[in-house]
Amino acid sequence: MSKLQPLWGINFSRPAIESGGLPLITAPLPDQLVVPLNQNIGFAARALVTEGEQVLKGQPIGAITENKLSAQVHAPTSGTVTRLSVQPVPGQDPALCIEIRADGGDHAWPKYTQHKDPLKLSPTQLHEAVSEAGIVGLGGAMFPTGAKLNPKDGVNTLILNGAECEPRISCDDSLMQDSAATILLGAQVMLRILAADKCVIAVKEHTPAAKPMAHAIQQLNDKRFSLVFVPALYPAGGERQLIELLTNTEVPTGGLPKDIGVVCQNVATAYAIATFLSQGEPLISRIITVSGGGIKQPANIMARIGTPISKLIECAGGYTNTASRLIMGGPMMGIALANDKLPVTKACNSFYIADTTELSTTTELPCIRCGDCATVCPAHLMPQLLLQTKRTNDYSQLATLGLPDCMECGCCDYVCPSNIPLTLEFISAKKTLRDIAFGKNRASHAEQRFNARNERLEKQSEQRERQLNQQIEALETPDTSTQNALKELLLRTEKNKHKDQKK
Amino acid sequence: MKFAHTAAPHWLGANSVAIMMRRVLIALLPTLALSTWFLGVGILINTIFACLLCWLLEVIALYLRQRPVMMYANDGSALITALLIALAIPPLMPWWVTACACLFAIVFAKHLYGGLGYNIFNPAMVGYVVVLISFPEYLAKWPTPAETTAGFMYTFDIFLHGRPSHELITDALSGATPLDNIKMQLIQMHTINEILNQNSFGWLAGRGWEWINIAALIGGLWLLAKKVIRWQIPFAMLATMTLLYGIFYINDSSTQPSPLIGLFSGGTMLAAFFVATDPVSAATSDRGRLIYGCGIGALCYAIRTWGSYPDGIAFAVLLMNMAAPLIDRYTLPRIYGHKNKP
Repeated sequence: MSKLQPLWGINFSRPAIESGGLPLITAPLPDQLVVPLNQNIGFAARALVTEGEQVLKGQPIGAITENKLSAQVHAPTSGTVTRLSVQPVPGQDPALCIEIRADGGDHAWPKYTQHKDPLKLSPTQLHEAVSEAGIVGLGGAMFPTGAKLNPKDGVNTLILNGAECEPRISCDDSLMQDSAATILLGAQVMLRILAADKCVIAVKEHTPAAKPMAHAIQQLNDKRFSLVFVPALYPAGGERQLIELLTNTEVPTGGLPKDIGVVCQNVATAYAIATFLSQGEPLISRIITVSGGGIKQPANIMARIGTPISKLIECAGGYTNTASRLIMGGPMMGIALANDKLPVTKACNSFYIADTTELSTTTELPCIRCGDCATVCPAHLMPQLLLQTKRTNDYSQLATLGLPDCMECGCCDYVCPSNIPLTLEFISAKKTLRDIAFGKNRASHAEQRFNARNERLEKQSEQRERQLNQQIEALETPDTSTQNALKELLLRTEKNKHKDQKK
Repeated sequence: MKFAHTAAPHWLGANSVAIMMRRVLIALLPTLALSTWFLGVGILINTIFACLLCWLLEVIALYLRQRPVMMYANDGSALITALLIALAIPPLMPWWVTACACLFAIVFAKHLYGGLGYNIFNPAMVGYVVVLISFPEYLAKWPTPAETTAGFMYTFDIFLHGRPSHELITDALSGATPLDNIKMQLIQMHTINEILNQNSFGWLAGRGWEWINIAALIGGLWLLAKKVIRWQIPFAMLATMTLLYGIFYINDSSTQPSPLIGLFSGGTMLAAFFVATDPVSAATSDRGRLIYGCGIGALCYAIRTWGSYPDGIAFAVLLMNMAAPLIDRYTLPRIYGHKNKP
């Protein structure tokens, strides 16, 4: 195994409570659950239930929006639907949520079959099952897995990501320690769907999961599987960075991993697929790391989707007196949440509760162009130049300098001696770039429509003119047929006169 | 429970501008000590005076520009400028010359361009070049060995009045740096070997100067280890100088100084690790830094050899400062997922 050592990234030397060894506990079933319908990238699911309806554990309550990127949603437990309302969703826009009052029985919906050997099913059946189980990318991106596992993409390598991107997150690590064999079964299913011939499992070096994973691969004795250790660098677990590390190729800008024959899936996603096929349980629960200085007993917690965050906090011993931020995700890219009443979604891999000592409050100084940001940037950008260009509002230059390739990992912020909020500046600049592109698009649309209208009007007026000219012409040029008819008429009248006179 | 909302990233590193500047100041201390030892107490007088004045000018400039005075004045950047000026100018210096250098460095080169982070030119070098051109009689006059040991009162007299109160019996071969010496005597048709055998030369280069340069080298290596500076600029600059000195030395060793003399004379090491690496005015891309360092090395050799100034480093740095933005624009790294460089 070759030693992978990238030239970017940050090696966190903080005195961290190494969360690799956190205990895995199961959260008790809450009385009330809130299940958002937008738990995926793309379009929200369509509600299948109404208020007052009884639901069973695993019963579909949100259906895929037809022909759109979307994912199924299932009832996390059995009970009564009490309310359908638009509510805030952590990390997402507010959306329609289904509130369920649990009946405590946790009765399962009987319609999903439990397969003894899921690998006997055909790839098409397996593919359908993945969509049916409501599985989305569980690394936090929530991309519908069914759409990502497309056999037509010509993918030859499946990368199973067990190298958590951010520090302090260990949900995948604890899952691998607990159920490495199930994960491998899920990976085999994905290989079968994709007709891919290679599966690389990436694990961070020096993590407790490395041994059980290696053992499980050995037991499986499948030539397609291999295990690779990636350095404990941030953001080595990011999709594009991991692909670069493992395959030595880069995902083209604006493209997807499938363009270079690779698909990257989280280990938890593989686990969810295997669980659905062998136990008939769709994606209704996941492991969440609850850690940080603001929590009394950090732990990895297996919880149902829709559980209020406050219940997880209770499971982890509650807040310490110094808890000052509730962050969904990790300390580098996580989203600070305003309160803990929000529900757990499929995207929640971690809640990091920072205490006052872990957060720095510093004032921003001018950039001294030290270039430390460029050294750590995983996209090889020059943040110092981007900042300078952003502050002069030169947006066309920003696009040339590669601003759209910024992945907002926050490495530049971390190393900046002047404490400049670079990531925030870039996020806002990226939005402006998109707005400009949108505006340009709209302007060109409007121009096209305007031109088309002018053309149409011109044609119409031309036509009208032509018709008018014809009429005038017709009036001016004597029509022979009319004249003949007149002559005939005159002749006839003459004859008649003669007849009358004869009489 | 309710929480405050802040944007990611939530963790920040411990590095700060003040820490970087403090490290640079620490790394300059050996050079300061050895300069004082070999060139006399004048260095120390100039340093203290320049530090006080630069800091005062910084505070005044910040106040006039309506910036948060204490936040900026304590970052230590003005002290680095002061220290570099004091190490660049000769030790026997009337106060108004030093003051002039400080004024042009802090007020003109730094704050009129927008303060820390916005100056195009290295402030210390601007200040130095202004007095180098304006006061040639003081700037070309380096102390004789007798003057070096003449004591505090003698030096302080020159500091206050511009001339000593009593004359010393002076050495014939004096009042110039070794680089100056070589240049003058080569014109008088002496060979390099003859020049090097004179008393003012030590085992490596100019007596005393070799040690000052070694001190700067050690301070610079410590900065490299602490990641305050990166290797590209010093390496490229020193490599270019070694190469150029080497080519001409191999070609004609009787009239051309060896690379060792070149590297350990004058302000070579100080410039390589403390002046050229000033991040604000240097190129920032990796390849850009190599080009920038090469440029300084080549210009420095050219000015030393064919120009009228014995040590051309200040001019070399200022000339390359001008080229830095352009170098950056043409040495951008290839972005992830792109085929071509932007």
